[in-house]
Amino acid sequence: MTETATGAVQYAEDWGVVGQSAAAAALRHALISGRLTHAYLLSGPEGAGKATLARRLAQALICKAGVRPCLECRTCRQVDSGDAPDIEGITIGGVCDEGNHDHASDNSTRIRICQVRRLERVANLSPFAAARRIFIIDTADELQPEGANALLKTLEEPPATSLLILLATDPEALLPTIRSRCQQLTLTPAPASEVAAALVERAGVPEGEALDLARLSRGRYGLALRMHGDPSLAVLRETATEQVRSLSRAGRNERLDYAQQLSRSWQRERESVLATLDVWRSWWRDVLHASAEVPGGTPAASGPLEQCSPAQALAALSATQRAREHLITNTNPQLALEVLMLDLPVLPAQGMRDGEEAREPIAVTPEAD
Amino acid sequence: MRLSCQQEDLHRGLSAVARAIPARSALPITQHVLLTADGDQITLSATDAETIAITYTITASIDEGGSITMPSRLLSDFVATLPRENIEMTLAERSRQVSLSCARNDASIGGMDPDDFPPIPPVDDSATISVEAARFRRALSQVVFAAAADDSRPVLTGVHFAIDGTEMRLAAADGFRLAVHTLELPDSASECSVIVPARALAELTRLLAEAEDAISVTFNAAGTQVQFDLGHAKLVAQLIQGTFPDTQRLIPEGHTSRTEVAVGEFNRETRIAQIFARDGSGIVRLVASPGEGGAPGRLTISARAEELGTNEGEIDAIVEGEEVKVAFNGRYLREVLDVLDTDRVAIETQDQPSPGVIRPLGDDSYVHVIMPMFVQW
Repeated sequence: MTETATGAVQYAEDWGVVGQSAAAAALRHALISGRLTHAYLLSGPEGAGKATLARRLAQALICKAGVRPCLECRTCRQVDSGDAPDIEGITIGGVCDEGNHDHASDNSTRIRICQVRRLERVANLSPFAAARRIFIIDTADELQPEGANALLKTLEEPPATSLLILLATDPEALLPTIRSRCQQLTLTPAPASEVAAALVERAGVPEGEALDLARLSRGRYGLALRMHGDPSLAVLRETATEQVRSLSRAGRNERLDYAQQLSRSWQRERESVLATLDVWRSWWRDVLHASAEVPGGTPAASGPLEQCSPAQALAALSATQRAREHLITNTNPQLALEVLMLDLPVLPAQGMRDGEEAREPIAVTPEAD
Repeated sequence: MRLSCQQEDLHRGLSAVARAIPARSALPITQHVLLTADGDQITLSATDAETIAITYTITASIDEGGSITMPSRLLSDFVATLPRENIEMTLAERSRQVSLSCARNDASIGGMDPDDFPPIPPVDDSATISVEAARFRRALSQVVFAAAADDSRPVLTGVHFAIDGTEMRLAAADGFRLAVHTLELPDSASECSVIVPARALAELTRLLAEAEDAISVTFNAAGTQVQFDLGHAKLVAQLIQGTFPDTQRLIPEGHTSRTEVAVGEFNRETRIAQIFARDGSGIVRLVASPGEGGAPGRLTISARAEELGTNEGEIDAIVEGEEVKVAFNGRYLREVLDVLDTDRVAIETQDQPSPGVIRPLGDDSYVHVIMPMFVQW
């Protein structure tokens, strides 16, 4: 604290968040100019480096070294391992103040309101060891609606010594009132070459494999690293991408069959169905980026993407999102998935003319939920 | 680290610091207690790395100093059941295994790196106030219970300490009631206004039970922490940030009626009424009538349980002013009567509906305000 007053503190140029040097530089600049706001919303796809960037910001704020974050001192290491006082991660299954239930064992699918209430209480206490209390909400997409509303109060009038960092894969799906109370920072995918180079250098992945992983992860270092550690993830990803690709051209019967098949596996393995939907979601997002010609949205090497209008891609994206919501909130799985199948746009098959199967899907969009 | 100490001492110390350990925490190390052996004493520390930290010092004979953390629950349960004899403790530095032996029982407990233990925040010596332990404990017991239990307004979950000159005013409120206790300080202190979490003060009250002399209270210069130093034990609490409501304005000035009753009788009748009130909305009705033609005044305390039954108790009272009809939440009434240590108490009311002001007779240091409930009479 005293160092800050004398201006002797320096902030490291490189925070080591692969592919996110621009976002890191923005935060660093805010630190240097003393214009750090009370709440940040870091958005970007899964594995893009949101959580790492949030930890780096926390480290930059509480590290005691001359050049921060040093990533070597005990404080920095404790932040990375989640053992630092004053830095609290709010995740599914985390702790709350209520003694009558335990999120770790009750299969929570959301960040619950009691966890947000705890955050509110702790945020109003003076920091324990550091100069700030920092809360990393990982991810804000998973906040229970009541929890999101409860968070608004703290976001509106945050205690002076607290900092909230919200992570979100889909910031548009958050409450607009949450978005408007945070400074938003969007993490974009990195070039495949940068990700591959980092994989080789940091994780010792052989060069050829590194490039494959970088492409498969669509420029997300975290995801690439996870796929390297758990090859089944890469397989799941490839299968799911293949599925959504063929489903987008399939007829109604084929789709409904698939919905039935998927709803059966929902009973046994929720996680893998959710993971499949996540892949579909990110695939449609990429299609949307490509169709709307957003620069930097998709690395060039990620494979051929379907031709469709932005409106169709957007409809597919929100249908997938809706189905995911329905599944989490215990709607009849087959119904939820059938609705999804009917909502997906029908894309013209490659090498086949419009027509045949490609009839307009029946409009059963349940807008009012 | 190699030392020996008395089972009773270690047991007492461990149970004192264990109160700081959270039921659940994101940080596993907070489930540990830190032992530091130096000179001729062991310092035990525990913290939730969030609100409070407690340290407790016991005497021991130390052959070799050192420090280690051990799982609090395991260690204190183990020590609690040992016979009252000498405990020998040896730490194998490399493996962080602590072997304990007492009488003919041996145990080995795995510890963790003491450097990973959250540092107990040092409270710099800015302004230290000395206050007598017994009086402070009494003041806390009359105030802490009135703090809010839910977190919807974080400042109300704490007790407001307002120090000015030789006066320390403790206040707690939860939106329905307010408790204020004013303590005289032996020495004049600089002005200060902070909010201390009620949870920390509840733990402090426990520790104060075995303190005899004056304790010192230190607020750090940054206004973030307070330390209560009891000599052998220290409690550090993180302050709640924010502004406490102006409690002076919440105490009604003047009254139209004043009812004086014996605390014991009033408390007993309130207890009975509350049994009937608990099935309803906790409403306990008070009717105070002044005596007529030389007859003494009386206070009736009644409650109804819908479709179950009714209850009415009557006690003698000195009633000044008009007849009073007022209803309170029975729990609030009982909680304040439980902490009064005078024989008699006065309830002051204004024209309804107005808050009831409760003042123990012959003790100007305490005042309690309860909001009335709206009922059909």
